[in-house]
Amino acid sequence: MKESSRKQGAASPCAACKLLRRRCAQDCVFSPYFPADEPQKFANVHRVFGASNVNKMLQELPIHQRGDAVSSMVYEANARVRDPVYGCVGAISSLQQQIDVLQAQLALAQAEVVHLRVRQSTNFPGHGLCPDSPSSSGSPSSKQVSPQDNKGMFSHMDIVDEASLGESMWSC
Amino acid sequence: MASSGNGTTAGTGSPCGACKFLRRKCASDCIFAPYFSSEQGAARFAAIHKVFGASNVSKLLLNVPIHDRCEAVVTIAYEAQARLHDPVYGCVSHIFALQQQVAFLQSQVMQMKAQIAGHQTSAAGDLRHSSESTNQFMTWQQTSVSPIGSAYSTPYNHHQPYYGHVNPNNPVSPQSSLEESFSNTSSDVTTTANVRETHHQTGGGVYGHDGIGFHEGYPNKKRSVSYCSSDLGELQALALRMMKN
Repeated sequence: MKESSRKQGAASPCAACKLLRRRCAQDCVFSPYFPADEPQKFANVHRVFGASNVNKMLQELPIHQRGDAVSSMVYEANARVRDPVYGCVGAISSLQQQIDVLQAQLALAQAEVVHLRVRQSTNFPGHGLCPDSPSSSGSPSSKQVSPQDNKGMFSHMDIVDEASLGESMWSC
Repeated sequence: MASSGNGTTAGTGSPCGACKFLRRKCASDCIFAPYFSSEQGAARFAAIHKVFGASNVSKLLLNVPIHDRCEAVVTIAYEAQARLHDPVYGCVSHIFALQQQVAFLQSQVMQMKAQIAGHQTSAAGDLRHSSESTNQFMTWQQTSVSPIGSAYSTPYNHHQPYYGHVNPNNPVSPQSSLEESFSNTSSDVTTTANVRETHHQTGGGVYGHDGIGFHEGYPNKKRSVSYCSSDLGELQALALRMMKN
């Protein structure tokens, strides 16, 4: 028994047990995810979440999900250490702002496409049968409004509609 | 809510939410008292305590200047609730969903610009009008990165539910995880807005009426938020594994 105990003690401890100055058992919850050569990784997680909290959270998860849980905790802990006020929420806020800007750009570009198409249809007054005659110019606008909802499926369908309308315009 | 401020008196007032949860006396210099009012503080603190631990949060707050602590508490509560709702990915799943939407919108903008270029080429005969429209678009592009440009985008938020625009990510993302993100994000944003009303008493600001509490204070902070490439690499690897799950 003493020999087996010593053998376990002889194994190099993981980064967690090294930081916590304790013996790294064979069933250590941390050892698969915090190797000894990455001490800072566990140091930040320990500082933000606490070793006992991480231990509890990992124990509650199926083993096949623990790796991803550790990765996301490492990311959050690093973000919190870098920015103690905003942490991960800083990245979320930045991405939300990007989305706002891109949505405005997209709406403006779509309005521009509608404007250009209407002008092109008025440049061919002789083709009364053209689907994009001035009397029906409202139809493209109503279609263009929908993509502002940013539904992926609908947006793709709308692009197809635009392509077919373009072909029809050229065939007039 | 103003009355809750008096709760910090040692032994004579009601304890703050944190001390109520921890069943201890709320000292006059309690670090949690200003941010966890009794009405809702105990429930919010419970999530923070489970994920981060009271002593860890206390240490984290001690490292933050006092004038920034309220926002630190808001973001810590947000991350704690996200972690409880999704023990595997936490609020990182929100970051994934938003990143995917940014990529989707960028591709959409590029497609529309390509169509504009095509239309303008075919309408080359009308140079004056083409020139006008081009100038207008370029003017917009110059302002689209300014605060005014950001403010301009506000009206569009009125036409759709907040986070409704995340739907395009459904076909390429784990549905259950995103659904959790939706419900969790919705509740978190509400909590954040309530907290902001409680502590700041300011309904103003470009984004105030959107109910997007996070936007109020963060534009200034955005520039200082930097994420090194190794973290992004790890984040991308995590994103790939998340999609496979």
